Amino acid sequence: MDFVRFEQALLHTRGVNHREGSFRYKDLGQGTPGRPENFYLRMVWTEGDFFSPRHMHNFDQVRVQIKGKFSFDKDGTMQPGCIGYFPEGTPYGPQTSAEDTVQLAMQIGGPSRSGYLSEEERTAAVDALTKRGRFEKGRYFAADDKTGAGQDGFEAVWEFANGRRIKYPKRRLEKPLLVNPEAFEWLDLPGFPGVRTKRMWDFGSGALACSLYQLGAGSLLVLAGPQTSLVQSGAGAIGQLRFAKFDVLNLAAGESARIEVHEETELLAMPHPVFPHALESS
Amino acid sequence: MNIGHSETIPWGPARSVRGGRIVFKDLLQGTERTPTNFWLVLADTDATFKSPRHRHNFDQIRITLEGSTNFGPRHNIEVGDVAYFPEGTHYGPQNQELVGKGSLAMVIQFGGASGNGFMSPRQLFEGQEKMRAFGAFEDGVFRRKVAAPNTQINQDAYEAIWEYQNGRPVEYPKPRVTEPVHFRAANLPWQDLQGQRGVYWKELGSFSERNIRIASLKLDANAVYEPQPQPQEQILFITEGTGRFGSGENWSKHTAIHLASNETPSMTAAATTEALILFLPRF
Repeated sequence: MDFVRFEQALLHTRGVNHREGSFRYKDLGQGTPGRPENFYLRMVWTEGDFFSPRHMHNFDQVRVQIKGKFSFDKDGTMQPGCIGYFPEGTPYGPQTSAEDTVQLAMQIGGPSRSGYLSEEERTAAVDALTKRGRFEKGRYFAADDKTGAGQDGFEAVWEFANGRRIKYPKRRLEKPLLVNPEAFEWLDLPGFPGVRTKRMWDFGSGALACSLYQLGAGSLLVLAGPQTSLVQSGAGAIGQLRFAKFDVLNLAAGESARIEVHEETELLAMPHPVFPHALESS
Repeated sequence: MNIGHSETIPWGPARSVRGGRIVFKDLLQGTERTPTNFWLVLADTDATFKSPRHRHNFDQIRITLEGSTNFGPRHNIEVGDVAYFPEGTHYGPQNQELVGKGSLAMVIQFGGASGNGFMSPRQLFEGQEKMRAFGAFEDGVFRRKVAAPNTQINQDAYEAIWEYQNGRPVEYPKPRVTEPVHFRAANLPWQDLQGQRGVYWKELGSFSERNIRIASLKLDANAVYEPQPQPQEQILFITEGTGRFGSGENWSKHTAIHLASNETPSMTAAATTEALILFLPRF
């Protein structure tokens, strides 16, 4: 079990980025590099103008808008409270913001099992590529590229880190899914008095799912891995660990946690994809 | 189990509460005034069909069987796609002229997660006929001859009929998602269904607190599918193939089947079969 205290997580600044604009972030969880279900969770702050060109990934993303808003052009706008699912293989954006924003960002290997490039692998690739070219407005321009056309920044990083051409999964969804949790109804969770849930989506066992839990003071909830839960509000304990707003619980497959609630609590729960062969070989 | 066979059901008259020509083949219906009431049709849409941007207080699933079906600017449902239109979420304007030709589609309209249910076509067309006494339906809009108390003189046609039939203003659920969910379902791989040889499954997705779930099923010729009991009602629509249920009913291309909760008829394919499966909301 990986419990991350938000207040104690270090605040980093990313100045050199394969997209445009610097931002600050706190790491809130990582999986195992090289595994198809590897993931990276962080809280991200942007200030002022932010721009990212229209692009797609070969992994899944879930974003939760905490503050400010992000525009994805014809794909919609994320207002505070909005939860977005950006599936692998689905192009989106361009993404812009003209105000300060805070966003939770989960990146995780998707149904194609392309996996997810770890932060260490990504940073090393960006450093190496910066020595032989430049990143500008989300594109990478190699110094020896005489065409001047450049390449999508993420693709350049991925291909450098993996030593092969990127192959995008086929598009499963035409657009990202932007969800307004307020529109969902709380339903009692059977077996857990005082706990209610809102189920957002589930795309099957190969993709990240999303639900909310509302836990009354004095209630109890048992969560089983693999999944990540963010404390959106409230306070309580997991064994000896006291939790508060924005703390994160990452549970691996086979792990579980007993959550005791002291003050009314809201949890965002993201069950991870499960790849049968990956589990068998672990 | 209720079943509707396309080859034995005639096409209905051309009619629409919105603009342009559309003809329905009424394959299967649920039970009026229940939260899971539904209507499953084949829709033969002419290239002239148009509909203004609007939303519903019920859910819809659409697939295209022939051609391409427009549902908004730059949005066409191609053969192999599945589009889910949740209650409360705006879409459109639809303009089939953008495709340049008509299309054949399968449409399921059903009560969504809010529990508002679904107004049956009988209720819809009965209301439309009665309302012609005090207004006209033009391009998807009901234009009243005289303004009535607490009503708009011009109103979305479906909304006006719903209010007439239910005697209260329509209340749209808050949109749970900002846009319809458009699956490029043909791009998803088939997964073996464990323990059932020659049977394959595609889990497209499930949504909302009421677990509205969409999947596809494929059976090789001679394969037997033994479904597990499910708490939710299911609708199956056969897109390809022939076969027979354990109950003795046959299926063929464009057969529609409704299963009650926990109803588990075995399916034996005579020819390779594919079906779309909708799990209706669980209340």
